Parts: sequence; structure tokens; C-alpha cells
Amino acid sequence: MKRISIVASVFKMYLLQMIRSRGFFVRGLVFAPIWAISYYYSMKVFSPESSVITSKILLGLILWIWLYDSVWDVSNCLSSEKKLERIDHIFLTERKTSWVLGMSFALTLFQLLNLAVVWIVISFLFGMVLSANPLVIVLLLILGIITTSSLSMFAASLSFRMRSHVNSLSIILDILMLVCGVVYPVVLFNPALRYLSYTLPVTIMIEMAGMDNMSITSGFLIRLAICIIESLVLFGLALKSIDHAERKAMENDSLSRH
Amino acid sequence: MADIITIEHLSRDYVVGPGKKVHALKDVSISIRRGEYFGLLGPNGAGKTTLIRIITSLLAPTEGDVFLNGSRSSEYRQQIRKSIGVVFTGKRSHYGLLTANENLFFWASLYGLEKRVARPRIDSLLKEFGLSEVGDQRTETFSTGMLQRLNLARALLNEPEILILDEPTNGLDPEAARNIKAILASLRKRNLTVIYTTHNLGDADDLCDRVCIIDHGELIAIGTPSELKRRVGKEIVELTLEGNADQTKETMRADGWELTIGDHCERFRKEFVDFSYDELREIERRMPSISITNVERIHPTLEDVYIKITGKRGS
Repeated sequence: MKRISIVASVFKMYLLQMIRSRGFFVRGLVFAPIWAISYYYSMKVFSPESSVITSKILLGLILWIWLYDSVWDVSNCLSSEKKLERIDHIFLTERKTSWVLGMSFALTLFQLLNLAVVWIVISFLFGMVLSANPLVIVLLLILGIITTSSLSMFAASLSFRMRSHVNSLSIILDILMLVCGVVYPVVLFNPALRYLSYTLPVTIMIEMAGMDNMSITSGFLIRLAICIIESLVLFGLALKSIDHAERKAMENDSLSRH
Repeated sequence: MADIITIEHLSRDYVVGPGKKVHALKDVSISIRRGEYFGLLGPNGAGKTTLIRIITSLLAPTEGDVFLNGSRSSEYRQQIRKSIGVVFTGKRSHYGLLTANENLFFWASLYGLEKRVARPRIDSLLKEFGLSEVGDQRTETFSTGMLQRLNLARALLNEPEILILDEPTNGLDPEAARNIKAILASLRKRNLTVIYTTHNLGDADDLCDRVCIIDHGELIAIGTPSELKRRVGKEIVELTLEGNADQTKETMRADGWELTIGDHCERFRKEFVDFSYDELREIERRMPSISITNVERIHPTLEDVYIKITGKRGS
């Protein structure tokens, strides 16, 4: 219970900072027209007959941006805590797990809020309606936050251990984006790559969002369970990786000095 | 007083290239007593921050051990970290977009303090450090001095037994530095053990019960400021004389006095281990034609000790 309250407190503080940074409004306003134009052209290119297909194109784009921006933000946040050497104070509290969880949830939700602004603008301009069970939408959003933050934390924790943060993050992100099925559908992959892709919870979440009938079926629930298990494994791996980084720093004094 | 921190034969090497090592600390052994203000002095690169990082368990020693309350720091890291508060030099521990209150609340929650405990503690710390009025202001608007006071408040949130300050007055203007020193002096009532690194020797002289001097990773002196002064410094007595100049100079020089200024009056100085006013009476007896118009006794400072030991000048 205490840990949950610490995570909630960290979550609140980071979200507060993100909203106060004014980036929320600026990014929403800048991205919305760009998105609206790209959406308009993507509709023209694909000439969709049904609004479900166009919704899926949009959903794919939104997921892509959400994942990419979240991973960048979580990683940049870790990097800036490192650069400002605030990380030493955080580690001295012995609550780094709660801190990392709270921080990545906050940044992922912040990205979602950003995208919500874009979505509202596009819906207003094009009269776009996503036809789905509202409960499924809520479930997918929660799942999206969990899977995206687990992937963000995992990618960020790997780059956290590397000397050149930006370069290593770009490589890690590109590989993850290719493998998780956001850029290319998983059905196009060869079997080996497909298995690898399904080890990432985001892949399953994307598949769930793309299901023709977005309602709670047994297939949906199985995917939900797998997705949650995989997310927990990713969180665990990310925390192990940060622990390892701390241990290495104790030996080399390099954590806050890269 | 019982020892709260025992450092035994501590060494730390850094690998700086293939086959190249820098010895940041070499066989350092120190005992720090409960409730004392302990100063770590030394020039830049002496190994002070390395020692602090090892004490706080942020860095592992190459050899040797640190014991806090009798527990080996490498084995009881979690308990040890709970009992210390740290202010590192030049490191940011605040978030500019949050207010002072929000910042402290953030750290309080990371320390696992419940809201009903954290709230009054934050209020009392803000009041103690003169930040109550600006508690609801974003810290990006704070001056360096205010931020350092906020850092101190943060370090005391978990009510630590040991407060570690790495050059807390560095980069502050004289008034802000004086404020921080006054706050540190006022913390004595908390019965904290304070470890204080600095190269401002005046601060160490004013605040610390004991100091040690580290240079090139080696402990080269330890003791109370007055012990160290006694160890290396002799008192200098400076006399101003009036009277027969030529006779005075020769006689005084013969007695080991050194002429410093020869203007309208004669000034002489001499080092003494144990000065007595009988010396002056003897001068007046032997040279009745002169009179001693002024006597100035100059006691050695920690700066003199530092220069003599390290050969370098402190700030």
C-alpha cells in the first residue's frame, strides 16, 4: 500500500511538471493540424470505403506516435536526472522502483493526453467516429499505458546503461518499433520474427486494438492476460537493468558522470 | 562520545585507461564521533568527494571498509541510507517547475513519509530555514542561496542521524554563505553528526569540532582546529618600538627579532611557542632608551596549518 502511494505521488509530481511545461498545449496545437493533413491524405491514398479502416489507419498512427514519444520522454527523463545528478539523491532514498514506475506512468499518460488533443481536433475536422464498445476503449487505454510504459522503461533502462544515450536510444527504438508491429503489420514477418514480436506486450495490444469486432470476447481476454504478464516481465527486466546500472556505477562511479 | 562512523584502511582506485589507475584514496582511516561537526579539508581533487560517496554507499571502495553505527555499509546499504541526509555540491535536487512545498513533498514521499507526518515536518523545515513565505513559489524563481536552504531542508526530511554536506557554501555570495553557516550552527540542537567538506578554511574553523586534511588521497592531519594550529603554527608577536634606532635594531636582531617595517617607528616580529610578557620586560630593562608602544599577538589560523601541510592556499 505504501509503495502504491509513493508511485502515485511520483506520478502526480511528474505529470504536474509536464503540464506546467506548457509543452502539452503547444505540442497539441502544432501536431493537430499536421495530423489532420496527413490523415486527410492517407484517406485519399487508401480510398477507404468503410470508416472502420480509416479508424484503424489513424489508430496505428496514434499508437506509433504514442510509443515513440513515450519511450523518448521516459528515456530523456532518466537521462536528465542522470545529467543533473539528481539520480544520486533518488537512489539514496532506496525507492528507485517506485520512482521509475511513477515517472514512466506519468510520462506515458502525458503522451496520451497529447494525443487526445490531436484526436479531438481530427474528429472535429473530419467527423471521425471510432465505433467500439466504450469498456473496450477504456481497457485498451489502461493496457496501452501499462504496455507502453513497460516498453518505455525497458528501452530507457537499456540506454541508461550506455555511454552515448541518444545514439543507443535511437537504435533501440528503431529495432523495437520494427519488431512490435507498429510500423509493419506482424503478419508480414517471417515466423521467427513473429514469435519475437509477440514477446512484446505492445504487439498484442496493437493487435487487440485492430481486431475487427472490438468487443470483449474470449480471444480478447486471453490476449489481455498475456499482455499483462508480458508487461510485468518487461517491468521486471527494466528494474533489473537499472539495478545493474547502479551496481556498475558503485564500482565505476559512472552513473551520474556520463 | 561513541564513534558513529568508522573508516578503516579505505582505498579507492579509478581506472582511467588501459592499465592506468588513479589512486583517489590511499589507506584512509578516520573515526567520527556521534554528534560532532567533522570537517574534511583538502584541495580540489584531494579525494574528499570520493570519500563522501563511499560513506553514503554510492561508491564501492577498492579496499577497506566503512562502518556506520557498527554496521558495514556495503552489507546494510538500505538501513545506512535511511540514516543519512546528503547535500552534494552543484547537484540539483529540486524540480524548477514545482513549488518548494511540492518539491519537499515529492522527496518526503520517496522517503516513505506519510502525508500526516510529512506535512508538519515540511512546514517546520520551511519555517526554520526562512522559506515559509516562498513555500508556494516555483523553485525556478529561487536564488542560489534559497535553493541551498531548500537542499538542506530536503536532506533533513527523513530526520537523519548523519548530515553530509559537500561544500555547501560553494558558489554562494557572502551573505548567502553566512546564512547557511548560521543555519548549520543552529542545527547543533538536533544532535546531528555533520560531515562537512570544504576548502573554505574559515568556515571549517568556525563550525567544526574536528577536521582532517586530505591531499592526493592521503590523510595527512586530523584533530581539533586548535590542536592542528598548535601542531604547526607558532604564535607571532609583533612589537612597535620608539627610541634609539641603530642600537635597537642590533640588539633586537641578536635576540632573534626580525625587523619588518622601518619608518618613523621600528616594528619587529618573532615566533614563539610559549610567549610570556616577561620577554617584553626584559627588552625594556636591557634598552631603557626605547619604549614599546604596541604589542600585537598573531595566532595561527587553519589557513596557516593548511598551507604548511599541503603547500597550497585555501579559499
